[in-house]
Amino acid sequence: MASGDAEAAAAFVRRFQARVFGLALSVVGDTGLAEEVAQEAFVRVWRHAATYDPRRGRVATWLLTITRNLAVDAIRLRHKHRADPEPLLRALQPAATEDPFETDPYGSDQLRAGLQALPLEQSRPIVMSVFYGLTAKEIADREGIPLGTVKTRIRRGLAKLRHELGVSDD
Amino acid sequence: MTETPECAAVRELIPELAAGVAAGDERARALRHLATCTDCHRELEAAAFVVDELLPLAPAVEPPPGFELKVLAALNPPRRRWRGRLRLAAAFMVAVVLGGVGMWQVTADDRRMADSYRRTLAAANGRYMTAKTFAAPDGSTAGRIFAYQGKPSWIFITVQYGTTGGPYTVRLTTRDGRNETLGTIMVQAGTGAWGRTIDVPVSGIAQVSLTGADDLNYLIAGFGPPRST
Repeated sequence: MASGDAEAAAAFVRRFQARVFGLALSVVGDTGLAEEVAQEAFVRVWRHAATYDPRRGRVATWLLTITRNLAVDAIRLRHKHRADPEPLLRALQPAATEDPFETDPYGSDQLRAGLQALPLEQSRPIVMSVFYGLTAKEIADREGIPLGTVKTRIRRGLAKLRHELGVSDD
Repeated sequence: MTETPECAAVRELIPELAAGVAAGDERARALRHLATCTDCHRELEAAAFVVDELLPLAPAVEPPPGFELKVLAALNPPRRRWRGRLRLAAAFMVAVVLGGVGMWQVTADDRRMADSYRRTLAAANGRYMTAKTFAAPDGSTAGRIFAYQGKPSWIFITVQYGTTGGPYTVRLTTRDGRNETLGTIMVQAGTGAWGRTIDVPVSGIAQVSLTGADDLNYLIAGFGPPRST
């Protein structure tokens, strides 16, 4: 991947473009802006491929984290934070892998089910934080609830999701 | 393991750290603690794992037609298209500079060269042109900058240094202390060229620097006192 080979680049883009564009669109809610974000994410990952450490995790995870960060930066810059997390919450879904080198599906059924099973008061701030890049303070202001309450709800929600994923505390 | 008050404060921030949304000052404080506290570090890793696994749940959506081509074009930037033009521009400018150097050494026998230089300058209302070198940390010459005072004024930079590559940020510092980022020069296998117009007079430039990524050296070209024209 680091070699910059054109065919490898085309295969890489084809393999991940729907997931990258889908995430960007979920965050920014605007097709044109999502396209810009997705394009920049591919460029960043490709240019910095040499710094990618396979021990850090899957390439898809790295790519999607960069996509999400760029998308959040884009909406912050334009003051276009999305208000309602519930449509995204309903649309979240695991997808079968298209990558022959990665045997796991992208996303986990258990995690999706776990997130959707959380009380809305916990899943809303989690989606607003993870996907929309809002701080606990910003969520508290938007939702009209105390900052401490937001933090507690996110912590409790994440703890349940950790349990769904089988990540133990110790 | 005993949870210290500092642990408690950091644990409260962990969800925001994992989601990458913690404010800078809080983040810095937490990272200092995390560097020394294994338990809190483990806690952060577990939360970050959940966040990482949440992102792929966003629904996949096929991008608009032509997306792949746009990305591939961006991955192979206009460098190639520009390379020919840059070579041409560099050749032109080297020729002009050589003319300039000739004029500075003018004697009565060199009037023809001086006339040629004046005519060349006059083509864009130019008053003078100068060339400086970029010094590498080891003192060697890493590249050159040609600066033209005219309407418009412009600079053109060539780099020939080492064997590595990457983007360098071009920054200009004026004699009155202002800093301006002018753009990015892409260096491949130690070689690159880049140019643009500038808003400050050449006589107002104190220095131009090239800052690369971590493993690339910082290159700097100092400008002497304003040339009298």
